[in-house]
Amino acid sequence: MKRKSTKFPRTVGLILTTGLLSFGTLAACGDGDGAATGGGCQLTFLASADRPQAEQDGWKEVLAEFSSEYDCEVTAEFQGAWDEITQQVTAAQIAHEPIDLFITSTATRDLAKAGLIMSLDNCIAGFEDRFIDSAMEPYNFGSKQWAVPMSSTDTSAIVYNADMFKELGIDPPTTYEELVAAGKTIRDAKGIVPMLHQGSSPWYWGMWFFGAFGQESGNQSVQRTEDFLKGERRFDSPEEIAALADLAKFTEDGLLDQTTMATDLEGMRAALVQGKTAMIYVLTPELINLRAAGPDFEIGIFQFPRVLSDPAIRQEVGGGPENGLAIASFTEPDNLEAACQLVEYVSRPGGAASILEPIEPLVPSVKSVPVTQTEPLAPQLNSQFIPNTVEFLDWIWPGQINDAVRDAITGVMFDGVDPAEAAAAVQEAFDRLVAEEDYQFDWWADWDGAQWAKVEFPSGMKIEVG
Amino acid sequence: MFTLQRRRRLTAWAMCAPAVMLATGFIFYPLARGAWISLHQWDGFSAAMKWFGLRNYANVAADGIFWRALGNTLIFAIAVTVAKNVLGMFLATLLNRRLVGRGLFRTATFLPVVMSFVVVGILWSWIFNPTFGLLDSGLRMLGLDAWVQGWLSDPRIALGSVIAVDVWKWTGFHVVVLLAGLQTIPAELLEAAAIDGASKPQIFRKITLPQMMPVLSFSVLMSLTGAFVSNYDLVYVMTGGGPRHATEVALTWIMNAAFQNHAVGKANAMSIILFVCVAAAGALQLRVMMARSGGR
Repeated sequence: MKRKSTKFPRTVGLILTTGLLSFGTLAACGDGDGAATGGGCQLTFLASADRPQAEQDGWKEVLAEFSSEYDCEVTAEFQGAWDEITQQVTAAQIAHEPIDLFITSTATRDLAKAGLIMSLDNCIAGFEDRFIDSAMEPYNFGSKQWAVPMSSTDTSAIVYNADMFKELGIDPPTTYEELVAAGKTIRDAKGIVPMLHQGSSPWYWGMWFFGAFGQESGNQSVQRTEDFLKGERRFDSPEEIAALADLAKFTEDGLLDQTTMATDLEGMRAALVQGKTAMIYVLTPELINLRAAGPDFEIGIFQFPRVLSDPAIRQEVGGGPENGLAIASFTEPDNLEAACQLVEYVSRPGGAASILEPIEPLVPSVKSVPVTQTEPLAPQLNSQFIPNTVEFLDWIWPGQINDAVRDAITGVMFDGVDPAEAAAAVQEAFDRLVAEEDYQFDWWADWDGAQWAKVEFPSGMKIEVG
Repeated sequence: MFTLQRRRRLTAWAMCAPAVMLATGFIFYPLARGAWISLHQWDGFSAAMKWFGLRNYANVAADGIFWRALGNTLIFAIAVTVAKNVLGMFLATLLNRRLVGRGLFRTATFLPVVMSFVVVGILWSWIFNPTFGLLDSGLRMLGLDAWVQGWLSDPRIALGSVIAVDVWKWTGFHVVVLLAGLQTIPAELLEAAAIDGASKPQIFRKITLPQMMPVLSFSVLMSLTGAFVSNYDLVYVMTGGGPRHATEVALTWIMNAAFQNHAVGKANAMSIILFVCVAAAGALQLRVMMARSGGR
């Protein structure tokens, strides 16, 4: 009898224990790394794990110093990829996990709209001049600063094989006509496609439009983009159509061909290094990867060519900081002062240097951090390119418009789509977005006092500026 | 105190409990939750969802790219199902014979199955690379310049290239399944047919194929449902759905809607539509094949 009565519970117990252990194991994933301990407050810092190890070590070192100096335990978590940070923060909020500060990426506008991050104006008032303006700009919307840049700042450049140019007697082109002439010389002499782009990665197509539209809009591309998203301007306006028509010429004139559509970042880099193309249009961090690939020729850079003859119009391109530091709006109120103090601490010359110098920033977003000495083109980037860099437009466009603009660009360049038709398709995508998702660009205009109260960093906190 | 019958029933339930718990947690609840979210407008991170009724379904109905992606998914599913099973049957028949190096061939056939999608995707992207890829270089070396293609850049053939890679990756799995089936056919049946003067094609058609029908049903079901719902990784790595949506499949477009465009309600509506399509296709295929095999 005794045996009969205990058989079932034992079986059930074993199975349920196994089940619970399985769930427990699943729930226990993650790479937590307590940077230091302290007896005062407790903060949690989150960043993606796909950043360089040297940068992660720099963060850990600075967070440990902060912990020690301010008696505040900081736990550093490095998890997932950079474009998963939105999901991670959302999951943390839903699960009531403590996240106080995190490294945000291109989704900062979405995070702000969802009320997940704080506007930092009251926090950073005493030290906001530590950051370069062009790096602050992408995190400033609705007249509020939602994050501070803690990274290198990207811009866009056409990288070329300088030895091949010298051999063929080509000067770095300034105008589109000069670029076409250079391309013809290269094609005739070497039998290679003059330019290549990482066309299989759809999100990089936008940079072509930024270059052309920057000029066609009279250097008003950001303003025009915001007007479009507010519904005050149509995408099928003459400037947008002209920009798409400019891009169509790149393939019509033989600078790019269909092979670009199947080329990824590594393929593009390998093609340049192996002399199978002469020019690539890239974001500037690619210079570091190119050096690492060991090209046996000198590398040069020039700006997206002039498509208009008016010398008063700058050769504007897209750019932005790789990372921004944000404070979660769901952080405990008692932690706010310490969280802001941490923002201040990591942006001090010593803290910023520990975090950023190991990644050899070409364009440091914190003024006190020196430009890397290992990249000979870094001074040219800072003096010539950065003044012409405006916010990546695809950080302003919602995802649906990004999709539509990419389709428009590749359509006019490779499928013979008429630029006006392509621009109209983008406008149609916008109209659909408004109808389907009730899209509103300036969502902040409709926020009430209660919504702002949840995200505005309180004034009057004592932040020590070191 | 439990009666014997009750104890047996409870033991059975207890044995099933882990599977039921896992299925509830990871299949039934997410499915129900997904259906619920599909009736709302939600960006995936705002605290509140807005009731939307069937508007998401109406929006999906008007989304031309989704229907193109669903069409590509259907083409993908049918093509890989046919190719994997025909090729798998052919290879299984070959590998069922006494060959020198049979173990080596069996291992080589199965090897791609254990490789990750990402590795396979990157490997084949490089083979197809138009600038320095092995395929085009090889064709040029053989003087077959006219065959050189933009394997992943030409919208007319990009989907075919991705299908070919998926077939290459999964055929080994179906070979193993079908080989196991072939080895269960009684040898005396085949010998008797041969003694009676049946030719090899006749033996294959009249004995092997009917005997293999239950295994073949399983193999086709696996490849069909797998092709509908497991093509994301490969397409994402190889083409990202491009060029210009030529290789867009339902899963890549759903992921794009959910995580790039933050239209989570709409993405869930697409998922429910895909689920209904896969369930219907799987049920229909299973019914047809089981009927042909006499319900076994």
